[in-house]
Amino acid sequence: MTPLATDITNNDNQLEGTLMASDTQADTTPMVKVDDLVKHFKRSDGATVTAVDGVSIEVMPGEFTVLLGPSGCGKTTLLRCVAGLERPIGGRIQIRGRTVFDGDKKVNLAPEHRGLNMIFQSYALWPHMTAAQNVAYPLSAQKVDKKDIPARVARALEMVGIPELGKQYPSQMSGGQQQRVALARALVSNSDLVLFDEPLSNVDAKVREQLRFELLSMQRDLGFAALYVTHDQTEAMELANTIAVLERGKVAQLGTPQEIYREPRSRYVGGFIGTLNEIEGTVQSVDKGGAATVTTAVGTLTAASIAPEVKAGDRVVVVSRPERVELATKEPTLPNRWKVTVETSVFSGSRTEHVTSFDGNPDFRVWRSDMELFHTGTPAWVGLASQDLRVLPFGA
Amino acid sequence: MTVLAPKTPGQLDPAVANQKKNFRSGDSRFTAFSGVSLGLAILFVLITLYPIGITLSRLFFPDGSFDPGVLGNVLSQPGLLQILGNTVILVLAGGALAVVGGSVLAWLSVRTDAKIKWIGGVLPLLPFLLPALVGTIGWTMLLSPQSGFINVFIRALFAPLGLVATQGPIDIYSWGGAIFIYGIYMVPFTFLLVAAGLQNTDSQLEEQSRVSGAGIFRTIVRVTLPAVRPSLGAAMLLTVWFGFAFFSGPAILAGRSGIDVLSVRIVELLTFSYPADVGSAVGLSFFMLVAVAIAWWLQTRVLRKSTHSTITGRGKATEIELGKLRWVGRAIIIGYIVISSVLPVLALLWVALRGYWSSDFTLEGLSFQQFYIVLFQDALTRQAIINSLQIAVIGATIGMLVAAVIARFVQSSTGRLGRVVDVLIKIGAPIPAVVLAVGVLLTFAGPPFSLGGSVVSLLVADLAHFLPQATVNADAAAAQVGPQLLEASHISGAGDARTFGRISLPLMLPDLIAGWALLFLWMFGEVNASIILASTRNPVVGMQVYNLYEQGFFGKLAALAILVLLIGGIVVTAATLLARWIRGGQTKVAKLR
Ligand SMILES: Nc1ncnc2c1ncn2[C@@H]1O[C@H](COP(=O)(O)OP(=O)(O)OP(=O)(O)O)[C@@H](O)[C@H]1O
Ligand SMILES: [Mg+2]
Repeated sequence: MTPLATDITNNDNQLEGTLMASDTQADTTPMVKVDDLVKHFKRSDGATVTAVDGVSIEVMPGEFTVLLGPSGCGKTTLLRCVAGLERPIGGRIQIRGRTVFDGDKKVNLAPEHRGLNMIFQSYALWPHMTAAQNVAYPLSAQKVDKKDIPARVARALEMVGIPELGKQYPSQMSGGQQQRVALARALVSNSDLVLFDEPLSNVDAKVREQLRFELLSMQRDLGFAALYVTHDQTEAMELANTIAVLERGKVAQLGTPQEIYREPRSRYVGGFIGTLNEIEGTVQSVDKGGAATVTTAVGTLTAASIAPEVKAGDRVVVVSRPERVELATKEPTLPNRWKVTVETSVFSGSRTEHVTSFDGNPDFRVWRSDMELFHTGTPAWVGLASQDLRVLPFGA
Repeated sequence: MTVLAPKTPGQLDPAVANQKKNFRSGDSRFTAFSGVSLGLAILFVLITLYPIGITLSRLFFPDGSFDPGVLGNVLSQPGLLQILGNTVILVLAGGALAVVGGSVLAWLSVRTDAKIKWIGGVLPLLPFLLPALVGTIGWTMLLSPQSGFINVFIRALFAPLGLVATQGPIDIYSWGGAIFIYGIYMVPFTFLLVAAGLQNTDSQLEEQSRVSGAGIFRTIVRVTLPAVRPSLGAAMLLTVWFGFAFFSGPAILAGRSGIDVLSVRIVELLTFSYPADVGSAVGLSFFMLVAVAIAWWLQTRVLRKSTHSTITGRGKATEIELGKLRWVGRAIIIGYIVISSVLPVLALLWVALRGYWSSDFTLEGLSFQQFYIVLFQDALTRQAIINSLQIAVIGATIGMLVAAVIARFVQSSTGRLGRVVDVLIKIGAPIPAVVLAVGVLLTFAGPPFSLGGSVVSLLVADLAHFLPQATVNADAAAAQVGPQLLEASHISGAGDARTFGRISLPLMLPDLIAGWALLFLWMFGEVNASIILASTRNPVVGMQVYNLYEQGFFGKLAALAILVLLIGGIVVTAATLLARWIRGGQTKVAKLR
């Protein structure tokens, strides 16, 4: 355990109740439980925007949950509802088993009483306070003994790697340093729940990668539960235990990064979390093992993985990830294979990207780890194992 | 593992009842802090609106029952038509002068290379730094027909030619003089509006016109003027608002010119006739209120519309090079400053140092004796300075703090309540000080308050009169503090009061100090309400300057006026430096908000 975390056990008597509670219920009580939450906004032209539309999610203690979705899908709004900064119009929110919002019972706990911390996209550091004063603020607001504050602030600053910057004002720091101060401020009170709203979107790519790595190791060390908003799928997959993909205010899919990548529930989710090749077709049959045969423009394909609602006779798309596709000039032995024409071949460092075309898809992507390039117009074969094809409903 | 554990131990039980104090209900988060803010807002709305209500009820319900007769009496008052006519003529003629003058000054300072940077910043502040009362008195010293310095100078110039006269050639106590005074003291308002309009208009529109072959003059007429038409309209309406309520200028001139106007007559009815004719004063106040309210309302509408239509706003405004005319432009700008401020202040300074109003220009006998008398010997002037300082310091402090709290409340409440409070607190803005003072007199002079003639009644009138403007300044200050900075504080576990004290207030402070300095200036030099509300036992400087003028103690008057200017200048400078120093410690604000 880090010094910061050990601090908890001898610091606060209010803690006992919390610890006892988590002893008995530790793994069954979610840290955050959002139930059927709805939030509308009135735009200035009078129209109503449903930013959050019946969302239900759970965050277990110590778990890293990422809310992922394109701009405007309601991620920030959902997060702010959990924090108590927006008032939803319906649904329930529980934090540590305690109801903090209930639309029916007219319960809405103020943010300062929810016992959580948050990092804002703009960091929201107070410009008239030094880094140390910023970090000390939550402690004095929570009436921590004055004597203990300086030591805890110093430890928090050290933990985020800027022990020497305590006396600096935010304006005298780089974006990455400001980001670390915001992190220290969020972690200093040892809250077991921290919310993040795209905290890394304002720093450049190198710093972002570094901070992402540090953030993850701190989260694993301190063991707080994180609810993290981003529209960057790489970030989401690296950080998350669980990803909730949002689509226009609704949860489109909830699962581990692997599940969401390998078994997207819809074309929307699959396309958002990575590049997706699609071939339209009609389902011939679905066998008991969950495999399907699909008639397409390139022949009959067998796919080992299908979305739950797909039945025989449905109009569907058969999808695959570019890095799972074989590409060769000789006919491969794989069960699914067809002839294509290579349109472009580009070497991009870690991989070689090919765009191929055939009757039914003029833009079928293949990523290979070898460096072989093809001339435009070269006839070739692509091949796919059944496990690498998934059948999704055509509609969504 | 939280140190933020909620105060109720049985936290797994969502028993709503015993957690109630932590829960916010309703749409706006109603906390103790919102309660206090709302209470303050209501109190100050009442302070403004209640006296006005009392005034109107006196007018229509003089004995508790509706009686249109009083209005009839007012309408049949001798000379009423003449007074209204005089007022309208002065407002229109002075307003026309001010719109033309203000527009020329604004165009020169915003669009041409004749601009003088610091003057553009000082000009809008001029009416506050140099009260019109002081300026007008200075001008009587310059242009009195017998002993006005300029007249004496002109006569001396022409004497060798055999043109000997004891009077003239210029008479400030005339229609021309009155229009001149109205005009020059309205210019800062028209300047401000037109300059803002010009700044918001893309100068590329004008460049396009020049490129297409139009000259400067044609461009002004065809492009610039149409673009700032809303600002011009608003400026005209603002002169109507200002002109109807303008008191100190015409009051100084009326005694000898005989040109009586609405504001002056109201004050005369209350203070110089015995017994005071409250009924008629109330009736005339009603006229003034209606005229002024209509002009104000139209003005805000014109401005609001214009922000939707014009303004493409990008790009740096390029300056038109005037060539040789540049010096003409500069002369016009400097000329305005000299006429509105430098000359009258010099005249006052001369009289103060001379000890009396004399036009023999020798350096002999110049002394600071009058200043000594005003500060240490004359009990009345001394008391007036002390009282005015007290009112200004206390009033500005209360006013700015209350304005800050209300501004925060309005900004943070998303519901309808916030908007209603905002509208109500600003509704008093156009009410003329004279009308407000009549209301305060009717409301607080008698029992149960019995505050007649007291410093407190003046403080109340000043707060009621200036709070709307103070909240406008506080709004601007509050808007500087991004909402996330406050949300971050709540998330950190701080309640509303701590968030206000530790985050909002410190970040708003530089702007609040600047607002405080303005409030101080207004309240310190306030004339209109003072004349109605202050008593000789409790004098304030505005009233005392006026009385000394009426009594003809010009030496003392000049010394007091100069002291008022000095104190105001020192306070504003100190506040500006302080605000800048604090802001300097917070250079980061700009970057982070
Ligand atoms: N205060 C508000 N008033 C009106 N509409 C709002 C408000 N806040 C958000 N919205 C609307 O609600 C929807 C969701 O907004 P939200 O900020 O939650 O999106 P987001 O997923 O965080 O997007 P981004 O990735 O761009 O931050 C959007 O359509 C937005 O326009
Ligand atoms: Mg967002």
